[in-house]
Amino acid sequence: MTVTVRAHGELGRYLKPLGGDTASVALPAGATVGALLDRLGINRDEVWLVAVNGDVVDDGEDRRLADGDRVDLFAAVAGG
Amino acid sequence: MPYGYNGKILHVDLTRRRLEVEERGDAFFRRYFGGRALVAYYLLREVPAGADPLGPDNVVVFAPGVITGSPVSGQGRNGVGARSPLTGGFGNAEGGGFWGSELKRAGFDAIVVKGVADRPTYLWIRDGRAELRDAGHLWGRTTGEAEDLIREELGDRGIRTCLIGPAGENLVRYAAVVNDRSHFAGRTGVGAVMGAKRFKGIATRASRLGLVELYDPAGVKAVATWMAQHLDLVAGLHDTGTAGGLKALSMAGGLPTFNFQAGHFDGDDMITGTAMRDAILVRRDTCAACAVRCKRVVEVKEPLRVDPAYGGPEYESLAAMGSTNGVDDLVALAKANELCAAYGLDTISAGATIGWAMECFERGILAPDDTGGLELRWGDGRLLLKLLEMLTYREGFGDLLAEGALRAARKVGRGAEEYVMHVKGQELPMHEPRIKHALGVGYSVSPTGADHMHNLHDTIYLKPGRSLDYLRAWKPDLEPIQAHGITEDKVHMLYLWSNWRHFLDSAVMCHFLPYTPQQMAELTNSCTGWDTDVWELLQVGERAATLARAVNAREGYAAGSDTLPRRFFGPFQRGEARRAVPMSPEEWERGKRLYYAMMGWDPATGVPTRRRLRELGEAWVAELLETAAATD
Repeated sequence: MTVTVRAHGELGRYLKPLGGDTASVALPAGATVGALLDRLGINRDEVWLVAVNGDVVDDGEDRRLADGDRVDLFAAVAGG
Repeated sequence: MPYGYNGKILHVDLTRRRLEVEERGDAFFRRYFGGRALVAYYLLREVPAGADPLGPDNVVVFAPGVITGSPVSGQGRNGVGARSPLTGGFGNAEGGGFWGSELKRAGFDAIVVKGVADRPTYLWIRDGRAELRDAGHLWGRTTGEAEDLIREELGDRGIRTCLIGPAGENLVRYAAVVNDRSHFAGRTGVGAVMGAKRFKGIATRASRLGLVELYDPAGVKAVATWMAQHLDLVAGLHDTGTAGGLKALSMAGGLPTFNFQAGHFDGDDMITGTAMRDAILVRRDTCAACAVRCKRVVEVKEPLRVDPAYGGPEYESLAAMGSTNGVDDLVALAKANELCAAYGLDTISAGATIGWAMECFERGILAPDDTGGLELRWGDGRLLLKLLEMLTYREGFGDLLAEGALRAARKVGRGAEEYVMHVKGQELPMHEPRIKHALGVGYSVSPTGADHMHNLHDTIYLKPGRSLDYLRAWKPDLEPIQAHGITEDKVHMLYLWSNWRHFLDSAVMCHFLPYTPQQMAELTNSCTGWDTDVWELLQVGERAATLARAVNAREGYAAGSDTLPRRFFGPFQRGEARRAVPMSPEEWERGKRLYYAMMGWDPATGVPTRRRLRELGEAWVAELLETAAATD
């Protein structure tokens, strides 16, 4: 299956080598968000929120993905 | 010859048009550093209790710090301070750019300005010489126009400026001080204090580089090199700026929307750092010697012209003028940011005051009869621009908005005060405490009124990582925390982190650089030749916070002024809660008392105790507070 990933803020740097803020990633069917993070080399401790198809998911890294899902990854934010 | 600083503080008496230099050495600078601590020191020493913030007895302090002017990323900032015309208490803000660094290299560590000029005046500093000059031709001009005129008149394009615009001249209570036309020392209204003194600002030029002697230039260079090799740690900041986190906050229910009635903004995608980068960013700017280059420069030609000379909006400005007012028009927000830079307005207080008015209009507390016929409707970007003009020049309804939300609400009556989102009269910055509860305690106890920079953002400590490691410099056994609830550990973290931020604002260093506390100690020692460590630096921050608290205590502020808007103890009025949970008033109250105890402040009144002041080497302040209390 293939999912589309967008990385926001400081997480954006993980996708830069793939060409931008967004990437298409092929994963085994039923893979979790955690597996997606591992595939992209993203440090799980840097991820604050995970949204799938526009909604923040409560199960975060354990969430099982489906073909065509859009995944948004957000780092935590402090003052600015 | 001292290292890292000049040992010279310039005192300017505008009434007598007299300049004097105060000379100070290691004992003084190691204690007060610069920025916030120095501002607090001079406010206590120079301003009599009860002085009118807009009168001759108030002073304005301009202060870089002992690291400013060294060739390292993050040092290009300076503090400004005064008794605040917005809060009536400790006023202080920091701005970036090049001016602070230029001042250090031009031979001064700080400038203390008192009195009132009989005509518009500016100060010209070049290579250790200072001169008061007529500013009649600059009065009424924007920051950019005034900078151009000064450079023309003095025949030097390299002059750096620290100026007010028309907002400061017109005594808008949240007028900013603007460095190099695009960097704001925004908060607490110091610009209005300058306006009241008929003081347009300071033009500065150092003709040689490297005038500040460093004890160990190789040591400073090592820190600069480390930063240049670790730019990946701030790559997101460079790429999308401080607004890179806007979408995350909105997804969490943490983006102030409709005057904090909601935490998610449907138009968020239109105003993110990514949207700005892709639509209107023309280049990135920086502060003196900084390799990060996080500053935005935006340009728009149609439908509104946005001048790139004024930079571009930070997160706070996009949220305060954007989501807080329901505005998702990025071009209008870029224009609003330009107006705030040109007029010299704090974007946060300006946006938040307008947001208060919008909510009052929605609730029928304000009507077209009050607003000169204006319909204050959420989401109207053109109206936002019109209101910024009106409040800068105090035209019509703008005269009310120029007073700040709290004073405006008290004039309006009819229950309008309920909708003012403030602490101590300062409008809240753009962080929602219902998604990070200790932040709410930090808002309440801040000496400047609600502040997000010297505050704990609970959500960056939910997992192991750099944020937690940073605090482990002082408390090695810290473990990840929850976003909600206020525990003793969290208050301890607030105590450590806010004091560290008070130190950084005394140094005066950028908060976004990823230097560890140990690196900051090494950098300080390389600049000065001292043998300081992370604990002594933390105590500099604690001294700054405690002296600032004393400034407030002298003006009658006590624990009862450490408030929080009632809104945060209940659910959102609109939209989903997402990650937001109402704060518990009992936990919040207990958190404040714990913080006072850790700071060595009286647990009942929140006033610094004589004992802690003595421990900090500031017994003279205890005497000052006792005298003030005796004359009350």
